[in-house]
Amino acid sequence: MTASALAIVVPKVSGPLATLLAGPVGLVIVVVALVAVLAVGWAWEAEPRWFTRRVARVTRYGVVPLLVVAAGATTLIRLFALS
Amino acid sequence: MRRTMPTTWFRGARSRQVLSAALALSVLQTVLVLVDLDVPGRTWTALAFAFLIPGVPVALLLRLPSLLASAGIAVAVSVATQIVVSMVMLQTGWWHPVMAVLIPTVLAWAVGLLVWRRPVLVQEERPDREPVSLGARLREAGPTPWLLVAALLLYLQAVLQTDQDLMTAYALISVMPLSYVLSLACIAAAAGIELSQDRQRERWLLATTVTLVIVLFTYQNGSDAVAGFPTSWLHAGFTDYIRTHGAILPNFDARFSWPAFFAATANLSVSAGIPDATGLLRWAPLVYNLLYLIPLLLLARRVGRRRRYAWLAVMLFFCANWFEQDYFSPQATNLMLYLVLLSVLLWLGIVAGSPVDVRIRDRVSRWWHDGPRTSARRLLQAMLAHRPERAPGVSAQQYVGVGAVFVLSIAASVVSHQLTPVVTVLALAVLALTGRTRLRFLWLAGGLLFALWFSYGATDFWLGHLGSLIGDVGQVGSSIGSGVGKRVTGSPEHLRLQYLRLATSGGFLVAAMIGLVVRRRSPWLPTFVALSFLPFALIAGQSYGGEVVVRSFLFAMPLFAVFTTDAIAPLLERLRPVTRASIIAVGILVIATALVASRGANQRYERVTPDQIAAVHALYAVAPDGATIGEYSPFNPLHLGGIGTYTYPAMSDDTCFTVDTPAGCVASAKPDYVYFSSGQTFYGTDVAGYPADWSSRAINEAKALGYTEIWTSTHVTVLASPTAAKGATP
Repeated sequence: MTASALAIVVPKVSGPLATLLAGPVGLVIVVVALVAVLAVGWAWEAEPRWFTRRVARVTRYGVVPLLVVAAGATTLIRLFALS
Repeated sequence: MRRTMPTTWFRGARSRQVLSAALALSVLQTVLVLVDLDVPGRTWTALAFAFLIPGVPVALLLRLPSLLASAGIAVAVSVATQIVVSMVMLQTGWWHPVMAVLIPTVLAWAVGLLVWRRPVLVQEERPDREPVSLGARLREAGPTPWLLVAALLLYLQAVLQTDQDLMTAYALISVMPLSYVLSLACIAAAAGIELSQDRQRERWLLATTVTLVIVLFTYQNGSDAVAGFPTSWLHAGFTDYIRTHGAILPNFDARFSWPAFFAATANLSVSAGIPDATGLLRWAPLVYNLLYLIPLLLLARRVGRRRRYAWLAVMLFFCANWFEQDYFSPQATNLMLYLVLLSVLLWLGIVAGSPVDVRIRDRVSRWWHDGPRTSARRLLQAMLAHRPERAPGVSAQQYVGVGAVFVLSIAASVVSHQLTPVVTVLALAVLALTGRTRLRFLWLAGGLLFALWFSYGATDFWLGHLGSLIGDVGQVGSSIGSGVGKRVTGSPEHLRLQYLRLATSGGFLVAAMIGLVVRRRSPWLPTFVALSFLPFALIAGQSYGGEVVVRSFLFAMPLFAVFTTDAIAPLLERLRPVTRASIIAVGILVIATALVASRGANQRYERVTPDQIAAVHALYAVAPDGATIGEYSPFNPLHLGGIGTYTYPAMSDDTCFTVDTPAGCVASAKPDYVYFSSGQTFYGTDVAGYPADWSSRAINEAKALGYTEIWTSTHVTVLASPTAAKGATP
């Protein structure tokens, strides 16, 4: 396989949703995802009773992985929208 | 897996002494900065502050049962704090270098009070020892101290004898005197003797390794008048720009998209009371390699199969470190952060032991019975589902503390370097997915921090041209071509030195693979293989230029050195102590001598001389703002002080430069000034393949165009155009 065959073409995304996610809203999503990951990481290890119960209730519905995926998607959309 | 008994050094009265010394240092440095006292040694107190405050109190608060892990964390926390504090100042526009000293001091005192309030858990009992005379101690020490003293004296003689002006195309090794080889021989003999003892003497092994580091990594700059490597002068220029303006220069250089190292060193230069960052360049390789020693030893002791050869692995790493990435740079600082993170997490994982080890061993032994597909699936399930135990003597709170320290460390890495965070996140992902760390959230947190900075902080780097940047992704052949093929070029002598570099790295790669085969029964094998080779993933997904291959090897080399030791240790074990000592000594001598050749291969054109710096200052004294200064290659200290003020068009552009008309670009671009340095001349002859007289012909051609000399000395000539300001010719 040649090098050029592997080259990646950056798709251009546009529209109101892309504009929204490429701005401060996207930043908030990534920050919230980061805070969630840090909180869960802390709760896993420290196991404070009151916190763990609440975290367990939320994480049961896959909220944290969802936030992480949303943060990843938001980052990509920002990169593609402003590329 | 092995377990170690927790040590108690951090619980006793000694921890109070260490804390008191750290807090005293923080107060001393704060007073020096506030009063702006010009006292000798302030640079060293500033460096000690940068590497120890507030890390020492934090490490004492964590009370990890390993001195090496605690020392590594102390340095990593201090450096990361300086970087993050400086970055916050830079981003918010609140640039106050004094606060970069005050904030860590306040943090140190706050954490120090928490440590002080805890009771001393262990009263250290000092065994009554009979006083031993110095003579008796020296007799007991054997030949090692004498060999090390002889090595240092011979080294001093070599430094005084070396004249880098006499270098041939073989670069640094062509002027290396015999006394330098004898110095290395003394160190190698000491290493052979110490590593062959039945009972290893840590103190003398440490002394031997530190001497080796001094002799190997101060020779290039120590035997010359000023620090070499023009990129470090460029970095000093970036640092000075931030120090002067309290901000970065937008759209100037990709490195300003990751400016935290330059911001932190700007504050460090203020703290040290020096006029600019150039005072930090000369001994940077020594300082960085001494800092690497701590995590490297922890890594070698825990990952290596035989603890008695851990020091050999550390020495091998230093002997193979030809990469020249330990100059004043963000990558050198980030490598230290990465090594601390990797070594501490591997230490915690290996000491903890794990039921997953049993499952992996079971899967490996039943491989043929169950078939590869079933075995692989079950192995993967076991690894993903598993969470290792806590290491003995390390509580949940301590794990949380370690996690917090590493989040800080990753945050510092993310804002100060482009490549290291990628390798860090990959390493963390490997440890999490193979069930080797309890801190499984770290790789996600690291990835999100990286995404956050890349997409919102480093916008100058990619805004508007992301396509051309990620066009490199997947172009492995192109990366290897520019990383290896295009670098192995030049004069026959220079080519031989490049082949030596390739042989060194290739040799360690092969030896490490043999070491991994030796370790094939280890349940950690998948993790070790992944950690060793993941840095090479950078080659496939990068936008870093040809240097990425060198960087990949640099990240891989610590584990390569450990597994190389694992490969040769069984052979060494079979030998008699005298033979073993001789083989180790000869091996270290050969590799260390080869390092002078391979590490110093570019010294002829990477060298910087005092008259080149004086010429830059003289030029900037007469050149008006906005002037254009032509350069043939970046091998000069031209960017020091001129960032944002001048532009530097390339005079070796393919569209106008030919060997027959070397001043073709001068004629077409008509720069106000042209700076010819010996570094540029030698880059042309050694690497680009120009004839020996190309530089003098270029100067003559430029003069024929009306340019006149405004500076000429042994290593530099500066020409001014007929219309440019010339000032008084020195």
